[in-house]
Amino acid sequence: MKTKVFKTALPAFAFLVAIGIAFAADANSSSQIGYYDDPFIPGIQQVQTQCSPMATGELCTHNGYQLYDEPSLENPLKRVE
Amino acid sequence: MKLKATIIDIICLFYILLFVYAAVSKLLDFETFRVQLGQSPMLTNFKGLVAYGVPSIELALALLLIVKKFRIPALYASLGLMMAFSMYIIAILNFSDHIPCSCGGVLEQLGWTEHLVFNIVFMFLAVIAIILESNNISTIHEKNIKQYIKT
Repeated sequence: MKTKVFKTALPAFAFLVAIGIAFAADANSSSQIGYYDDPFIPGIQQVQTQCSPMATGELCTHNGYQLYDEPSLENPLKRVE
Repeated sequence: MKLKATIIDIICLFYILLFVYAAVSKLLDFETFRVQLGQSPMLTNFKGLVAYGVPSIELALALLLIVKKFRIPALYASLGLMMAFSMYIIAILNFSDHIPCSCGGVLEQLGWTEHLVFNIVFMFLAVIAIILESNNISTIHEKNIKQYIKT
């Protein structure tokens, strides 16, 4: 009985721990999606960046194109210093 | 016998932690995960399928690893999944330039080479668990046969 509880409880606990760590890591994550308009590709393109609209560093670019916080190309992204 | 069972349990727990953590991290930041897949030249055409498929498979395997009856197939499938990830990493290392890892959570902080080593360690653990579990099953079968012959 004790072994059975142990064998079921431990994997369930591992599930919960893994979910908890994932949420904690997500809260600390600084990556976000940047949007840019490449005139040679139709539509707004997306790219993963480490930049932020709140940062005060240099403007963030991808292949020479300015990255923005939103698909409407508002709020330019800047490097986090 | 008890030590073998404990080792198998611990390896399965490691896999459950890894798969649940990786799947939940991907689902929490699903849009970023999809964008990262789109940046990979090999996966860009299947990014929708892979984006939904990989976390689903990881969660399903984590659940199957809990149930003793499904442990061996789940361990084989886990080994297969880790091999597939490793082959993808080898392809990325050889044929692509800078592509972000779509691994989810802190695993993203690992470089591709470190990630390959990490995968190899997990594949090694899966092989150990498969061998030990297979031995366990054959020992139980032998015991049952001996008992059946006695009666």
